[in-house]
Amino acid sequence: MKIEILYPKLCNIFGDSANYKYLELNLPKTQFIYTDCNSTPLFIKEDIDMVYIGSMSEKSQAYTIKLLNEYKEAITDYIESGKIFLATGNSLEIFGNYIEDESGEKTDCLGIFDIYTKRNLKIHHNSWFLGKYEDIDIIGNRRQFSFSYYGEKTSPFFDVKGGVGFNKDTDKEGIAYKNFYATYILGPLLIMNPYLTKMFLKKLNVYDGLKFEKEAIEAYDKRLKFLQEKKDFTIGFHA
Amino acid sequence: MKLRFVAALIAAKILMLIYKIFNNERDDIPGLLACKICPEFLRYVSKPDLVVGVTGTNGKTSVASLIADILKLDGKSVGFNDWGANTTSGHARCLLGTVNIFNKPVKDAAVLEIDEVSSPESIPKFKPDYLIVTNICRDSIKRNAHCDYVYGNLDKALNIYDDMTIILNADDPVSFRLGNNRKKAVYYSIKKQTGVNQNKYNAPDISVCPECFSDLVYEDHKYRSIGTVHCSKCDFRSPEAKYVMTDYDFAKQSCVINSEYHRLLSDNIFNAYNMLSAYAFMKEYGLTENKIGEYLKNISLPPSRISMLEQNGVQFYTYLTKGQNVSAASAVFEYLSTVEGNIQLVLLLNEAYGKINSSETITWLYESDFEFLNQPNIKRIIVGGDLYLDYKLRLLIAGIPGDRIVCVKTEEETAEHVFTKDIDKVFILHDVIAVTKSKQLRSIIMKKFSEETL
Repeated sequence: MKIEILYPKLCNIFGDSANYKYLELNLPKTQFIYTDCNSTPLFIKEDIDMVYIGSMSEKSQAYTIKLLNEYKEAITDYIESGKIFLATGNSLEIFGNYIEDESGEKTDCLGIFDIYTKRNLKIHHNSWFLGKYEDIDIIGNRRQFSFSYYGEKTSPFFDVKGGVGFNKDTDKEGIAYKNFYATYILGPLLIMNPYLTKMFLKKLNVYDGLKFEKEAIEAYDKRLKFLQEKKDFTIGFHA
Repeated sequence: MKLRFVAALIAAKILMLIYKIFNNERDDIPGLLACKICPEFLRYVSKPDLVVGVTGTNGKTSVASLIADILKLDGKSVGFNDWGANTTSGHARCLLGTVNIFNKPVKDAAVLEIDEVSSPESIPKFKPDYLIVTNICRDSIKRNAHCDYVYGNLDKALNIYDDMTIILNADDPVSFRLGNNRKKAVYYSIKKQTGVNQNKYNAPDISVCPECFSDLVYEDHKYRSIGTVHCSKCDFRSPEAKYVMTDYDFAKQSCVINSEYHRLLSDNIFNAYNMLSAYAFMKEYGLTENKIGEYLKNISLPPSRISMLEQNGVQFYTYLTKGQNVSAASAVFEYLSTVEGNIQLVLLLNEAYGKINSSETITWLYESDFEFLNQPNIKRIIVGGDLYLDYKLRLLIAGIPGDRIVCVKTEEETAEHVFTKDIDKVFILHDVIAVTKSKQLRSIIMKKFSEETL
């Protein structure tokens, strides 16, 4: 089995690397491929079982769009084939139609999903998140300058149970299409959500328990309880 | 506007007097009031003959403190925002103390620690004569987002005003670019060859060339992203430094800067950089080598950073380790991986997320390099507080054996789990807000050692 990590040096600004490191810990026999900016993504030409991309700076985002634009059709084919693709943080925005900044300037994105993004670098959004995917409670952290908006054809990933959705006017979050999953939750999504990780490992047909499963579930249960009792999901002051 | 400024100055001065009567001089409120009445207060308030700004992610408090002490030793009266207020209201409060009611300067100098994120709102207004940028690294993601964002803000500040001497760290590939095309940029560097750094970091502060996104090549790698670097493809490279530390000896507390021997103020590399930046300022300011040597013998780092007490041959440290600040915490962990002797660690880096003033995310736990704490001589790591289960999982994922990890519900319980046999050093790593708590905990632990080892 092969898992490809796209641009790990660029797309790891909020601890997102924890996701594939946890997968590595759980899948010692799997080949992990780390694709740098000067290389062609392997999933374009080889049989790859899962692709992951994490959060990035706005400057890196523009560059990543430029890099991936060349492979737009191949990315669409990969997604349509039903293979797993996971995108965390603002990486999801590159798969939409465009990103509009506070001055009104638009950057065209890959246009694979019918969403668009509005960004304002003067507004920091920080919050906890509580959501639901099928029967799994999802917990996580959000930290972003931008929000995205659904077009007519895009299906969300999570139902929002606490915190903010894809934008402040919707109770849906992320994108789920076939086995493409994208969410604004950033950082160690798979460590914070052991049941979601199990789901991915089962989809890959390699689930055999999780590394440190007991400890992961204890931490998850405690935070889930905390968030279920919480009213204000805004993240508080830090000196 | 001028009338508003006069009203602001008088009102803030009266408030300062009231605060002084109630023995509460180190409060920003008068500065806040001044800026509320006159939003351009920082622009209009008279400045002392010398204004020094210090900014950057890590080390700015230490460097500003060193510079304030140096200027005092040089016979200057100095205003310094040393109470941690490094945004607009803190600057206004500091400068209120350097003028009289008639807006005439009453001090020779102001040393202003400047928050790097809000620097575009402050630097162009008080126009420092010297600006020291220590570094730009990963910090709390809530305010600082990421390194590109912080760099962008500082660059914006300097695009508005750069008619000053800008002192930059030539070994920090993130921040040294701030000197590009500036008239008066000077650089400092540590050139002692430390060999190829094989350490792996979960989230370096910079991983690819900021110009062309190709890989960076380190010619001399100190820690994290700090070192002499060039791009594998384009012309991007570390600038030539005017002030170079070519040798240092932590044990002997000595160093060589530009061929002169000096006292080294620290036993770690990151404070060597802090000291070197203060040295660069002294030279640019025009102090002689003799005076610099003399002053360096008489100053020290702020006491809240590192403190050590010894009892029966065991050393007990309190060590500032900013939680949420990935680069600072990781640098401390990396340093601890080099410390000899049997060590025990107590971590007071807990964010009480259930409380009103709770902090942010646990993402920093996975950006930070807890892997450095997986050393055979680190016999036990004790963590207490609300995030104890997150820490347990994080330390296990870092490869630390479960029998060396103790995670308990409260910080108060941690002392109970310190063991006293065959231990050479105990480190209490604490956040900025836990200085007092760390010292109280150290007293309890020292008492325990005293009772159990008698």
